[in-house]
Amino acid sequence: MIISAPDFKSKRFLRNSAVAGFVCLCFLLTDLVLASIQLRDVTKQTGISFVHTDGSSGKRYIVETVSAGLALFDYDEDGDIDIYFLNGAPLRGTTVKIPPKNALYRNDGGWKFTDVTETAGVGDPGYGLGVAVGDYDNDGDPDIYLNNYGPNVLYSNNGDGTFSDLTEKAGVSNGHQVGAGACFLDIDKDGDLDLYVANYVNFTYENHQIVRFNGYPAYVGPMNYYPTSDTLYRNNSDGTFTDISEESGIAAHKGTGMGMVCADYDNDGDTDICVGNDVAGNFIFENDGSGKFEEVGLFTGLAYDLSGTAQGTMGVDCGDYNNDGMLDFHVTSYQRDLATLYRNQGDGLFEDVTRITGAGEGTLPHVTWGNGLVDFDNDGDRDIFIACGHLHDNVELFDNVTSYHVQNILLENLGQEKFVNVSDRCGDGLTVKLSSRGAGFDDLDNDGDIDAVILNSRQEPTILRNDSSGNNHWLQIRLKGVKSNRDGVGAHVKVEAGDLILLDEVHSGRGYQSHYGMRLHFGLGNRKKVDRIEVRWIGGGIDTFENIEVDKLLTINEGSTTAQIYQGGTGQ
Amino acid sequence: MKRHNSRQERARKRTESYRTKVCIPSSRTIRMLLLVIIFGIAIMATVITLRFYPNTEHKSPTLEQPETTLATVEALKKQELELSNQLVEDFPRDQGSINLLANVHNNHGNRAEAQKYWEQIVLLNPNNAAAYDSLARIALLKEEHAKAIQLWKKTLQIDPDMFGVHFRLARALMATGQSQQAIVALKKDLEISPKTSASYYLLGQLYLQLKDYKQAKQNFKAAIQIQHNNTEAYYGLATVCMRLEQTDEARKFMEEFKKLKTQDVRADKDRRGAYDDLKAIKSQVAQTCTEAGNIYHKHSNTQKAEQFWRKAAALDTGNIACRTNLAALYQWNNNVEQALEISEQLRMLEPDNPVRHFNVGVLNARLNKFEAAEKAFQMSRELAPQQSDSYRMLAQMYMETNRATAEALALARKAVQLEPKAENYFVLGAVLVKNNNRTEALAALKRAIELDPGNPKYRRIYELFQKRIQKEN
Repeated sequence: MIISAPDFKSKRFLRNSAVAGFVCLCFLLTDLVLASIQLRDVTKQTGISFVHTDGSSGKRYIVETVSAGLALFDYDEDGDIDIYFLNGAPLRGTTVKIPPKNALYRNDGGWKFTDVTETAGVGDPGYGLGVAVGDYDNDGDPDIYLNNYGPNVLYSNNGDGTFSDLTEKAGVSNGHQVGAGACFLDIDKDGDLDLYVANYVNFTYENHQIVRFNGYPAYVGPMNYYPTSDTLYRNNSDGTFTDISEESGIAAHKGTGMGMVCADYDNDGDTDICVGNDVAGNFIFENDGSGKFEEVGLFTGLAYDLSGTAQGTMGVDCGDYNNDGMLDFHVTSYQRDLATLYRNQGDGLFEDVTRITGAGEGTLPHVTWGNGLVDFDNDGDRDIFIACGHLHDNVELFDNVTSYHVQNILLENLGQEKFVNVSDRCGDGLTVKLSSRGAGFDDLDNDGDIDAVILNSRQEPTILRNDSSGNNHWLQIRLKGVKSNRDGVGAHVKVEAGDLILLDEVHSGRGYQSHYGMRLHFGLGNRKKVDRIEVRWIGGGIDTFENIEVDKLLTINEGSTTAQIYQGGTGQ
Repeated sequence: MKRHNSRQERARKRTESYRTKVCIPSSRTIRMLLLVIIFGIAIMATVITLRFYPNTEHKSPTLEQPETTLATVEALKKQELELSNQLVEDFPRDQGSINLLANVHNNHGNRAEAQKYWEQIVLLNPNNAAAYDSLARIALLKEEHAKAIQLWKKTLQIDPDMFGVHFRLARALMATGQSQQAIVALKKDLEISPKTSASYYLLGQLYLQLKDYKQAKQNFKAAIQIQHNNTEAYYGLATVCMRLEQTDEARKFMEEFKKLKTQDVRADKDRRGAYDDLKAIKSQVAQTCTEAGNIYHKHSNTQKAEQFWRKAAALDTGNIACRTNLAALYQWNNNVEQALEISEQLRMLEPDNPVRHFNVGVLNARLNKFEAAEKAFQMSRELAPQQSDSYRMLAQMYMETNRATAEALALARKAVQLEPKAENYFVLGAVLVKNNNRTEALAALKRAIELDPGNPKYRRIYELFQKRIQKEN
């Protein structure tokens, strides 16, 4: 039998088919190898030209290492999230031609941002460390509070795209301290936002110290200074605040405050305060409902890690990572500490579950800062984003296990209380190697998934667009208080969709000395309908809504019976 | 009346005369004196101010002399690296020298290089457990837990009882959530080192995570029994009691934890305040020099060994190891003066160590400095009254210098009573000979020979004494 050889045309067909098949196979494999979360670096296309400075000149003042946070919020209420970067300022011994300042970028949609700092009047030249945003005067627009090294600043939103500095009138300058995180919260459920201001250490130029490791100059840590107490201001509802640090019980506790978040951790209807302390036990101030606080960090198990060791706590965020209806906490930390996940046991106690969940993976060699418990892939559980970067800019000289510039970390929540490090396969956004500090997470393009903005020390920021694949559904909710504070800060929102029950709370100020996420985001997986939404407002009122459509941004007004679809802004 | 008045007048004149003689200074003189006094006070004030109240304006200590300090540290580190490299060049197949070089790189923060050299060691010798242990520690620092676990398991294959390895393996297993395996490792660690508080503490942690609160409590308590100030164990106990709703007990443990934590924080602050980078580097380099000296000595290069040990001693006034080695070397070389100089330094460093005083005594005795020797032996005896060597040496010295014969005998008897060993019997015998107590002397010398039959000196003295007795008889 003669087997005839295939002719030339057949060969070409076979070859082309093989190539096409190979390409398809590659795509298929790539899809399997890549994580479901994809974050792309779109910094260059945004037009953001901000470059952070720590104001250093080689003297190694401790404040250089901890600058700064950032804020994501809709300053002009046009429906999209704008970005406010904090900046350092020249420290003693540093001379500059143009003084650096904070910068506000307006979101123009389509991933374009415009610097509106001058117009808005928020270019504070002070040494920026922490920021919180909240409508303290209940006039319907968000105001900004800056926690600086030096006098703090309160910018009141005029409602027309500009702000006024009302610090002195409000009485919240907080003297001349080294600031840290700050939060607006309603401590006494009277319908206006009070203000908690964390303070770091009692550093001054006069008591400045440096240390040497292996001969190389290095920054000292907070242990070389004395701790300080934080400040709590009660809103007098007339544009002014009163310092109630002593009478509230806050001033009795000295710490080395850094990131913080205020949340009702014990589900008793009032907002408690969690302050991360650097190389000291973290504080959790339990609210008695009237604005008096008892520090219970040690008893709750949140003060220290599993082994009773004080961590170099940097950022603090909270979120229900395991969907059990209770807010859990996540803290970032120094090198050789794991960033730690504390599971809320529900009885006022927390358990360090970092090791058994894998929630600290990748963090041990690094200094970790900004953090967020965020559902990036909308699959119904919160992932963890961790901003990393050493504080010693010469660390490689005396410890080359780590580095000053490193990649950030993304841990995907697999469900069943397990996390996996997907940093190496979630897009070019996580390949950026800088020394990151504050991080914020919000839907910058209003496409239903959460994007990320990271402030990098001494460098330009990193803006990450969420390009995660999949058809998971979502819901975003913004609250408008009526009897409660206008932003709904402190309100609990429960979303039920089939078998999925999600809980979140509105916070003002969180993560590493930053602010983001006042528009609550819920990933729903493949659930096509929300059965019920329950909003528990600070002050006791509860509103419920049923049969809500998915993939929408809703506005819920306190006391209303329907949730409105938010129509403002671009990018819908 | 007139006579009375003249008496008064005379008295007045006498007074005036007296005043004149006492010399009431003129106003000009007074002014001069005042100027001198004021000038003197000014000088004193200046001196006092400068002496006791120097300029207190805060200066960062490193800013005062940064360049000098940095240059010195850099020079020291360079020297350390050079000597380690030279050592490896001289002995390329000596694992100790490669290990030393790896340690130097590790101390300099250059973990990648350190890893390279430890890997070289295991290539040379796949059974070098210590090298695997070092590699595992680096892997752990890099959070390569799986690799660290594998390396520690390898370490234990080679040396199943290597100190601390089971503990370190347990930590790595804990980090990856392998709780049951970690428990096994810790229990093994406790078999090897039963008094390890840290192992009981980690067991407590593991049982806590596994929610076996009874076992957790037991282990935390065991940790505290061994180490009363185990701060973390108190935290563990407090946590367990909270979980068991034993609130009162929890509060008690929490209070103790808080107290210990405050002490820890204070101690840490003091330590940080006292940290002197230059001193730390010098100490580190001194250690490297000591170990380099040990390696040269091992290879019979005593000249180089001595050079490095002396360098170590010069760098670090507290380094005991190099001085111990130098003292031994000088004694062996019969360089008694230098041995004594070093032994005195060791005695200063370890004043409560009876051996240090004993060695000073022996060396002084060899130099015929009997008074100093006596004092040293007495000090050694005070510190270790149940050890016979000082008694024996004192007895011997008194005998040889014909002093305190009765006391020499008492001391010799005491030495034998404490430790009936050959050398003690020998000295007793010698003292008895001196005392002409022939029967006892012979018995003691005979006993010395029985206990140490290979010692020719005992036999010779015994035979000499026997002959003398026979001659006299």
